[in-house]
Amino acid sequence: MSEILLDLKDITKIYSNGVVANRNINVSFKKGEIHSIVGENGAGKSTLMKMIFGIERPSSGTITYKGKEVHFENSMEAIRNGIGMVHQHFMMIDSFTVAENIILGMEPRKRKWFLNKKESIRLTKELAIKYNFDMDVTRKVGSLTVSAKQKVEILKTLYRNAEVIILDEPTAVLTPQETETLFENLKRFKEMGHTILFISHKLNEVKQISDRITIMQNGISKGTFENSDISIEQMTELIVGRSVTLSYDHIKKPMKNIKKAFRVDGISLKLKGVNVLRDVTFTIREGEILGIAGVQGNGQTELVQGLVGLQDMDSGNWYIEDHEITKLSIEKKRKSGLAYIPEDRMKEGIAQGATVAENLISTYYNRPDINGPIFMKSKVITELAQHLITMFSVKTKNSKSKIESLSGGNIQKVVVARETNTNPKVLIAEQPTRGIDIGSEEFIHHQLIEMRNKNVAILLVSADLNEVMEVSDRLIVMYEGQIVAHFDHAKEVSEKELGLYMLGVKRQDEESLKRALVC
Amino acid sequence: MLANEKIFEAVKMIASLLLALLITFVVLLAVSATPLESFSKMLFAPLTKVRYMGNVIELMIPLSFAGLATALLFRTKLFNLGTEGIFYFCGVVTAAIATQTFSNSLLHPIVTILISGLVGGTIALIPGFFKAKYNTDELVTSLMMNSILFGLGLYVIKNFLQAKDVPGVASQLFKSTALLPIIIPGTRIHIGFAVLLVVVLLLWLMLFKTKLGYAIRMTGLNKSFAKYSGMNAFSLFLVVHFISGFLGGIGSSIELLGMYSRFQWSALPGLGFTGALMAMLGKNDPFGILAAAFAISYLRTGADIMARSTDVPVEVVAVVEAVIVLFVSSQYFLRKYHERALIKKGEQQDA
Amino acid sequence: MLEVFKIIFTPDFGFTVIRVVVPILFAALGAYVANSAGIANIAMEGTMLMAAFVGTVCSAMFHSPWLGLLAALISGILMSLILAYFTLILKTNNILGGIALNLFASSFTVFLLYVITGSKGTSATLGAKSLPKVVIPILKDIPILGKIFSGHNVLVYIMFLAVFIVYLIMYQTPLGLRIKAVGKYQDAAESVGVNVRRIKTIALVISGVLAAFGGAYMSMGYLSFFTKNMTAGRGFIGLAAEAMGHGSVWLVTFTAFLFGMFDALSNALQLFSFPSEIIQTIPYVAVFIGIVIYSIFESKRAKSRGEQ
Repeated sequence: MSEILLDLKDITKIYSNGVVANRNINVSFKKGEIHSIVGENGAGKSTLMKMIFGIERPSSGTITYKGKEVHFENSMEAIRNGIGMVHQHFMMIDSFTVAENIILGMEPRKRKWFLNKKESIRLTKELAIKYNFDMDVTRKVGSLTVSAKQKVEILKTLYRNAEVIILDEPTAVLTPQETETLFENLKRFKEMGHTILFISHKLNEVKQISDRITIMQNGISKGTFENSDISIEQMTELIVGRSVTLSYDHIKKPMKNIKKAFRVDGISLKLKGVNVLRDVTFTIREGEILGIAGVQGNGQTELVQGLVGLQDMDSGNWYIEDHEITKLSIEKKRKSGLAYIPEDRMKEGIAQGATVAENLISTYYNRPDINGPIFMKSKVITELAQHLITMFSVKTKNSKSKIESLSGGNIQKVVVARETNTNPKVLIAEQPTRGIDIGSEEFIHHQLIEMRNKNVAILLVSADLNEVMEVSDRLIVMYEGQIVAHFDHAKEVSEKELGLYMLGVKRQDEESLKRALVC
Repeated sequence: MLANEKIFEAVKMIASLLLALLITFVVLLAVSATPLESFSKMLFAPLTKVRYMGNVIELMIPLSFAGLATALLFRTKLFNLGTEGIFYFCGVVTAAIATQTFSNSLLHPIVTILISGLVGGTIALIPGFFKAKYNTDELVTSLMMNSILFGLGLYVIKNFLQAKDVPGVASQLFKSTALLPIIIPGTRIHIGFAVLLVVVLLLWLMLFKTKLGYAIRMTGLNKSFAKYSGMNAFSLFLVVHFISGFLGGIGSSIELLGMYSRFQWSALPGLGFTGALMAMLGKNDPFGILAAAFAISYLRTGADIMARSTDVPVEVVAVVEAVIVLFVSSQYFLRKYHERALIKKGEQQDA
Repeated sequence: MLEVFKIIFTPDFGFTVIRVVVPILFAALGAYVANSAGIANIAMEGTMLMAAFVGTVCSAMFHSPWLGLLAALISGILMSLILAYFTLILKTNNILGGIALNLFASSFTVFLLYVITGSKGTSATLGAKSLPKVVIPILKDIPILGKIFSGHNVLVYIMFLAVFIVYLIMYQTPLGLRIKAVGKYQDAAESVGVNVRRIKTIALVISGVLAAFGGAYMSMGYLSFFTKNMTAGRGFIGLAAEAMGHGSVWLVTFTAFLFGMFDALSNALQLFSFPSEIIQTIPYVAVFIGIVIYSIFESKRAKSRGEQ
């Protein structure tokens, strides 16, 4: 079982916008091993996997598979050679059934030209049973739970006889319990002879599951290690080059204020007959960070979209101090003191094609301090932009560079800079450090705490348990659109226990919840 | 050097032009008895006489207005091709006012042009409203409007403004007080050209120096981002449509009052679609469109001169235009040279 | 008003509706296939026009309308391949590319027309033969139905066949499944090895062939010669029909027939003393109102689904 299956030599990948995603990577993968590739977001792990899978082509370097040099022009070739990939963002068509999604591209035929729909159902059902996934293959994928969707993704690779299965951040969307189940399945696959490439930035999990670990940082490989030869602390050092403490107690000022800054009352929303949000009520005080923990898809996204005005709610009111902002336009909500760091910075947070300066002023382009009677005051804008760039250590040539030339972390800094610059009373931060390097992540956390110390009320929504537990003062858990738990001090609960609330196994009783939430 | 974005774009444009000319030459080889003569006439004839260059400038005026009108929409990711119909209908409106008696020869054209613009802007609000409120496909609505406006306009001309003594579609003569004066003797270049230059400048200033322009640009770059930042897409779409219609209206009016003595368009003049061409070539930038309009106008004038003295019909210029547009608006044309240059530049910086 | 009703509810009117719906339905089917693959074929109008020209000219050159039809189909394939090349390989915006091709077709057909016939208006001087009409035995003797359905140009019957073939392809073949997959979630299709570019190209070619049928009909069935810009926006009406019947080949067909009805209506009304310019706008007004109503429904539905 120590034969080398896949060998990468001197792999470099440069994207068309000049970004060097991988540089001179040398790594090999053995048959029947679970091999983890770790690094923070932006280290180049996904890019490397894309090249193995044929989605991208290396700018230079060679890939050898089963002894032969291969140049996969597309993922079809990779698949045909027995390489399968389960993506971080599921690649399935919601309106197709499970069976259709699995057989797509390798459809069983009737009379050569037609689909054999009966055979598709039979084959996929058999496959599911063989690998211990029991599911109704005639259901539409859009109606499945997240972990069920992941099973379908895995079945897709197995249907195509994948020997090498690449999993890209598979536990990002799973609860701790579902992660355990996944790991059991992966161990079974390994025993059946499969090679698992496990991409992750969660070091605890990596330590638990891997045989060997390769560490990537900033597009280069820092080495491949046997699991037994390296500790979590050592891994961390290689990833960031310094030991990182994710603890902010020392910079948090003690909370004195009991003034209520943000009050949310009875928000409910029904979509397509499903209760997406049910009577969500909570209050945040001035200078306090309230964190919302929860597996993605339990209403957090809809709640935030409703609060900021991007989606209509069926019922509910919310107030900044005592001023109701429920029905106000987005612009007026912002003028009332609301700021919002969106979860998807590329989709909503910035405009690609615009300069850094233009992105920095988008939420107050209308305000009198940067506008003259007819024209915008470009000098004032440039000065302001430069000031923010310096204050937030944004790595960019100058404020007139196009925003897409910045790295993910720096783009996020631009978003945070913009949102905090309006001196908001309430800041909603949704997955504020997703997909960015540790240095920027720390910086942004410091910014959030500084705002907290300046009496801003912050609502932090994050799927990263570490982040939501360390940064928040108070913590609530959302499950199926309802608040099911509340903790006065984020420190008083463990990750495992939070997981139980997140999965709906435990619930706090309604009475004490109601009291605690309205403080 | 090819790593620089702006230089690369310029190279792409020149390469596209050369490629287009090459293909055109091949076509000429196939259909003309005197390909070389035809080809060189098309390319160089306009330069031989002041009158010809005058033609180039004259043609450039309506092309530019059509281009500016369409570019504003394209920039906001609205694929509205309604300039065609607005051009025609506002021409009818122009004819209606220009054939009335007015004593003041300064006010007459100004009033006519302004009203024409306002009508154009108002008409454009129709597809604009439906797009803003219900996300109605503006491509389809604008194309339908073109045919509807054509029918309505034709009806009005034939039944209310038709000159009885002239065959075919023709309005009465425009009053002399309405016509635009010529500003360069020896040509037919009228004051509309000066108006055009002013409009281009104003449009550029609006787009890049005012908050309205900022909002328009951001909405065009990323609609979700604009909405999230508090920009109101609804009112913006309406404003953009209105300005676009206004530009189309005044463009039509200026063209008629500057170059014609009566309204005689019996079919859609084809300027709306050509406006799309200008917008694509000029990359939705006001000055870029001016340059693109000049280039296309030059080619068309050359083709026209060639057509008059050779056996090649003027429509061959469509080959040039289509090829240029297709290559210029592609992102990947010559891309691998750009990428190679970028890699080299990256390596140099690391060294 | 009564006169108008007298006209509509006759078998002759039914015959006329079928007669005029052909280019619209072919265009709508072509738009349906292309849109299902996620790539709007804005060049349908130009493809139809080109096919109309090529069809009748080649029919004259080879003295055979069938060879003319074949040539028209080939031209449709070529137009689609050009669009595919620029849109998929050189990454031109597909709407802009479509517009450019339409402009090109509009002028180039006149260019070739002049070179070949010396006229810029019509190809009638070529005396090209049209495709034959077909009288269906037995059917022709059935009252009412016979009058409506028998005696049409052969392309009409090909059109009915085409609806069925498009249905088969899109709902019963792997190709159809892949086309829909590419249209709904391109990355997902690519991740299982579907060659997205190839599928989109195939979809475009199919839509080009369908458009070519529609165009060939214009110059070799509806009329028997080519005139400048003879498609008069029917390609776009087809696009509109597809937009409204979105996702279902039957709805698309139904909507196309609806627009065909308005087209026939406007033809019929011209016999009366209504002003012809206004009457001619009826089909376009119908499409306009239709697409507005459709988008009102769609936007209400999207709101309830939580998309905005």
